[in-house]
Amino acid sequence: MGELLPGINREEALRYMGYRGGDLPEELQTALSESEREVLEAAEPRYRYALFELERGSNLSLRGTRLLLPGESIRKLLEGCDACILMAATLGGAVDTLLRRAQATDMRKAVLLDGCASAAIETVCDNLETRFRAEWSEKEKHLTGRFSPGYGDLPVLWQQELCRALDTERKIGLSAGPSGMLLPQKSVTAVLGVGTAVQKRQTRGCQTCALFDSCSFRKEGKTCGNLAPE
Amino acid sequence: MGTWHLNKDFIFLDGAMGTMLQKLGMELGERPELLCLTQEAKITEIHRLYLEAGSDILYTNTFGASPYKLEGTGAASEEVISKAVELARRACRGTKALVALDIGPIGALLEPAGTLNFQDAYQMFRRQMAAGAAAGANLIVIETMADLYEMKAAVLAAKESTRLPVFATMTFEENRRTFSGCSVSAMAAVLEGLGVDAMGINCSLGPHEIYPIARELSGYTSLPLIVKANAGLPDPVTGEYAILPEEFAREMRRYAELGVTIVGGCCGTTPEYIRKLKEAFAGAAPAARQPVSGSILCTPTRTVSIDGVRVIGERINPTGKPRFQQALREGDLNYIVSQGVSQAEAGADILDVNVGLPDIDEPKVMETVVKSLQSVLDLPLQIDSSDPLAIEAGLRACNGKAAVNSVNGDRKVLGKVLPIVKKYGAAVVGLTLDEKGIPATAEERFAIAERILAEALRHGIRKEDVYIDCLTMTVSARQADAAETLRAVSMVREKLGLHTVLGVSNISFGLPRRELINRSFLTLAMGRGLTLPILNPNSREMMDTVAAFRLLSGEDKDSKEYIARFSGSETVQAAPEEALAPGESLEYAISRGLKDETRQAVKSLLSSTDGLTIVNEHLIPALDRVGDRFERGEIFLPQLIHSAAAAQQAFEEIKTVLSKAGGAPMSKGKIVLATVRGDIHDIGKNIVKIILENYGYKIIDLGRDVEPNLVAKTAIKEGAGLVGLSALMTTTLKSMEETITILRKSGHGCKIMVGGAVLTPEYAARIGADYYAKDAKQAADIAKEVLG
Repeated sequence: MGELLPGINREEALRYMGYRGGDLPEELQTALSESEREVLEAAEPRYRYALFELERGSNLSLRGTRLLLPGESIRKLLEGCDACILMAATLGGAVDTLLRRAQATDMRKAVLLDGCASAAIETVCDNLETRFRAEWSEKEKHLTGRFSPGYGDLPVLWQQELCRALDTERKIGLSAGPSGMLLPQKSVTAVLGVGTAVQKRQTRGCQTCALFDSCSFRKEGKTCGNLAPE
Repeated sequence: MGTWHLNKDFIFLDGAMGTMLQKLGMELGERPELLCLTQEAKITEIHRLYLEAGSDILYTNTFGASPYKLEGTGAASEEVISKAVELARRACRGTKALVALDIGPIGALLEPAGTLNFQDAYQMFRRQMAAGAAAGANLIVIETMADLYEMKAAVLAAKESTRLPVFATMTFEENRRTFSGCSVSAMAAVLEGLGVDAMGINCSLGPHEIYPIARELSGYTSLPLIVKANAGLPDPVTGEYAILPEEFAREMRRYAELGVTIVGGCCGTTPEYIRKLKEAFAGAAPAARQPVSGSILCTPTRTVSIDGVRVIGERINPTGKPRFQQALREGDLNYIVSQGVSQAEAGADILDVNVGLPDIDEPKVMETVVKSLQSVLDLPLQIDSSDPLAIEAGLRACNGKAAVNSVNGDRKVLGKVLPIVKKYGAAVVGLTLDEKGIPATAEERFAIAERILAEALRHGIRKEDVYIDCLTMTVSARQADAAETLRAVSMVREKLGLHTVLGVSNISFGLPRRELINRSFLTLAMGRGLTLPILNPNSREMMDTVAAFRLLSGEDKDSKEYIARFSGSETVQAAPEEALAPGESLEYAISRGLKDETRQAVKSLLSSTDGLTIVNEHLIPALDRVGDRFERGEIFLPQLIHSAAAAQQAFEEIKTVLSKAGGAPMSKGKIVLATVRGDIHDIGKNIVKIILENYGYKIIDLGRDVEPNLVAKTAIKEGAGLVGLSALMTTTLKSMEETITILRKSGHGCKIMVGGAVLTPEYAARIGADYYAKDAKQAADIAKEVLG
């Protein structure tokens, strides 16, 4: 666990809380440290992933399965790829409990914890991705960035298929509800393309984001930080 | 023993179904259960292979056949189950092997972690159980559960709709917890209480990793134990399992030493594993087991052993508390939950839950309150009611093992309540009174205690789970009684060996310095054997007394808890801030989120100014300025909320003064808030709520995952002028639209505002909302515009 989530990226956590610079009173910093500690204590990062070869017939699909990869965005992402990794990661249910409890007793705490937990699951995914990159670069393969259901035209509901393919409910306690909502809440699913000829291009940028129209960061000329690596 | 026992020392289960189907060419993404309908021969063949390998019990291919999981496949749960049972029966025709209806998790998470409610889960399981029994299954096995609440729904469904034996196994990680945090001890207590025939562990881990978990389990229950382990741990990429049949069998053989008698294989195992398993057990004899006896109360994540003094918090009780009564009548669950939270923080071990008021639907309210408390707290509960229906509602809704408060020596009461206690596996408090009243002497009370114990045992309740309340009488009215009560406590403790309960604070009614009497009585009673005092944990002195007693009795080993409790308690008070004018200091305190200072500032303002003037001329302008700073980006969300929470203190103070003066409660209008159906991300809505409350609006918070009809009904019933809806997912915007449509059709002339991460002003307009609120500040601006 330590290596996947060595700590909370405070800058990232603050961004999730809508922090736009300005004075951080000492009392607030103390509360923030406390929230970081509580999230780290409650988090039990678990993950699943699997490599699938791509099959390009009339639809893009995963070989040896009945899984289709629907939509234009995922097709574009996987141009030049011969396989893809499906991944799912979660901080576990104890973090949800922590958030629920705080919402009943102390809303500021809830907001601090929520930001820290969002940053935490991103860190877990970043570390997993780094691990994948290292592993596949030994095999002379490159990876695209992470692309999650809900980005572009890849439906949020597709999370259900992904979770079933990885048997996440049984293996890591992660399920996708009827509206595609992940439970535990602080969880991420994603697809990463694998190929020798992966293009260096933006795969996790604002243009592909489902929140493109409503994003409050973008309206202020900023970003949430989920941009593709250079 | 049920028919499943087969008169054998060891029962051999089968191995994996999914692994075998994959070997036979099943593709990822295919539903194994549907193959019962399309590939009958394959399924029967797999059963037959396990039978040949030596399995005594075959699990049907129905692990994922819940109505929820099969939705959209075109196949009904009942259809799949009845075919699956038929196939397994066909395979074991002419043998003594039994068919177990296999029930896996529903696939949707139950409340509070998810949205599925207990009753709906129960109904789904009931359909499965009934179909399996009708098709001729010999027993039911509920397996791979991670959520004890879901397990409870399944066991109740099995027991209430069939007469088949029930096996129940859960899946643990190496930290000895399930994914949902359920402990081994809680599983054992709850399943034994619910009356399953055998319990155990399956999946997730191999035999090596499960061993210590099974050893722990064997110490908690005397029921037969089941272990159905994976073939080791899987390779993270290939998914191949690590250990081969010989090693699997060798590892599994060790379970005989723990007294485990029902064994088999889970993921990655095949008939070869079962064959080797059976060979390895040749000549083995199950070890005798010696589970530790003693009473525990628990929730899935917290187990409280009653092996010393454990404090039962008394504050969730409307008796003599107008504010609590008002909260119950108005359905103000926040207030009730806050009473639970404060007791938990003060160190209560168990919470007594009493919601008895003459004019409310007690069973319904009990269920709601139990669920609300358990959504944020993990303390075990004591369901406190004299209404058997309310007791049953509370026990059914409760996740974990609870106590019931109470029965008494009246045989009519015993006959009504004890069967409920037994059915749900609860502990029970018996009051030493009967239809003739409260006896004066210790001997007579002891005799009633004996009677209660005998009746409880006759109903199959374990002796350890009977607690006796020898009744505290008010000492100012009946002085001799205190000594009798204490004598009865020691008699019950020493002669019957039962735990004792006392409502401590009753002792001091009508006397000055009540705390002193309470504390002294508590000390005396604990000295005589009181283990379960019911008291107000928010009283520091009472809790200190318990801490001191635990040290003196040796229960607090090496005085650790006592020292921890009092270390660092002599912190220096911060120097007071420079004096400001009352109005200024209020604004300052709110802008910095200083709760105590805010309260003080309002108190001093109230000496010269009336409440409404303070609200309009000081509080709201102060909040507006905080809101402006938020809008300009000078402060951010946590700071805005901090100020709002401080302002809430001011409102509470003013409300108290207004209600004392008999004035009308202050409200600038009603707003209904809800996170729409299908969505449980409700932090945004909760932020809006706290800000709106600050402006003096009465908020009716319907929570999350709210049915469209309920929003409309509530808005009409409450006459709300504004409805706020929140949704975080693109997929739940449909529910938002539906809610708006229903509200409009109802003819209720309210305004509707919407918000949430995926919304835009354009989309909000398109689905018929009047306003789009990008954040809590804007929601407050909209409320001002609509309601003034």
